[in-house]
Amino acid sequence: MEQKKPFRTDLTAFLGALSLFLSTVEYLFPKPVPFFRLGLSNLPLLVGLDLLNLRELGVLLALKVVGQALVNGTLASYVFLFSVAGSTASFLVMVGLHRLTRRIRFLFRHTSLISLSLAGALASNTVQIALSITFIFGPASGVIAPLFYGLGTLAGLGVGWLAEIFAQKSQWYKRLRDAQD
Amino acid sequence: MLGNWISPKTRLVWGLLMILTLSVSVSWPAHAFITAEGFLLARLAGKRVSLLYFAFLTLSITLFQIFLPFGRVLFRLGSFALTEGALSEGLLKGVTLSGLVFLSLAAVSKNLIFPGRLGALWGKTFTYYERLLEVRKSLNARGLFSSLDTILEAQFPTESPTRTPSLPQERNFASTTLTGWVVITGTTLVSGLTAVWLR
Repeated sequence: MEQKKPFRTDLTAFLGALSLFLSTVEYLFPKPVPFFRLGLSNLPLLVGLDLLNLRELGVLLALKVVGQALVNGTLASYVFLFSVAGSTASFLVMVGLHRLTRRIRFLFRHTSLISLSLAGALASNTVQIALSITFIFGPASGVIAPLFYGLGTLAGLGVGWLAEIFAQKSQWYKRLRDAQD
Repeated sequence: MLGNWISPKTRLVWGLLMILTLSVSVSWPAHAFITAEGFLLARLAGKRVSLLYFAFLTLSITLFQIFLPFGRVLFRLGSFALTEGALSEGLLKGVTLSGLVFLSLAAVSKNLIFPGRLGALWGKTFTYYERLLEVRKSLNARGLFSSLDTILEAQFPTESPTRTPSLPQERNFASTTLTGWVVITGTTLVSGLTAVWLR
């Protein structure tokens, strides 16, 4: 049975809240280097790929980015701009790949959330490194780019793996998916 | 404390004004003073601010900046020259960026309400977020996914998908108090005068 619009709006808001909640949880984990983020707040976006349409996913992205900036108090700083740029790049790549592989089902029976998460993480890292070099640390900081890419790859794989396990094990998610059909 | 004195919207406008004073000031002392003011205001707003983190940020920016030498040479080691211009530029950039974050922390309240549908959506999102924070201790590391499922089903029931979950209550916040206006006027004047006088 197709879900009614108010339910889908509330689902988008709830996934946005989950993203904020996971962003808070992320601070509990020790960071190998400063400025590095694990990306746990991307989990709802990943699991939302099969639940929400494109407009709703865009709204979820906005809730995630603006919400984090409001909760953390960084809305009026460069941190917010970096977050917007990185999250948008990641979103475009993940959604683009997901929609593309769904259209070419004879080639891709199942698009792993691990691969989508990894692609998104690399896109986000690229944009944020470029912005950091251009506006904050200068050209000399390019030497640390390989370290950030390495850590970003590991984080992307980790978050993707968590999303994949959740999608397989969660009865809550299964019921939401079944209601789409 | 700031949240009790100043309404979220007024706080945001005030914060943007303070950020403007930081942006227009040109000298080292002015930047340092306004950044220090921002740090105190962020603490007054109840935000946890790690000075160590921002010290490391400033140090990192300075470290990369000194590899682009310009100005008077302070110190030379082989082909590497530590110059006054690069050192000053790096420190100023680091302090300014830290100041921008401090002022943002002071200015932005999570209770900020947006108008229209966006505001309504944000209100719902934030209420769900607060509910999740309240029940986060129910998460069990040994049965992580099952405990997570229980929380998710309790906060957002799926078993009756045509039923819209209960709407969150509307949130109302008091307007700015006299103390709040004193704080706003005082800090903005101090920052503005600092930016103008300390050139």
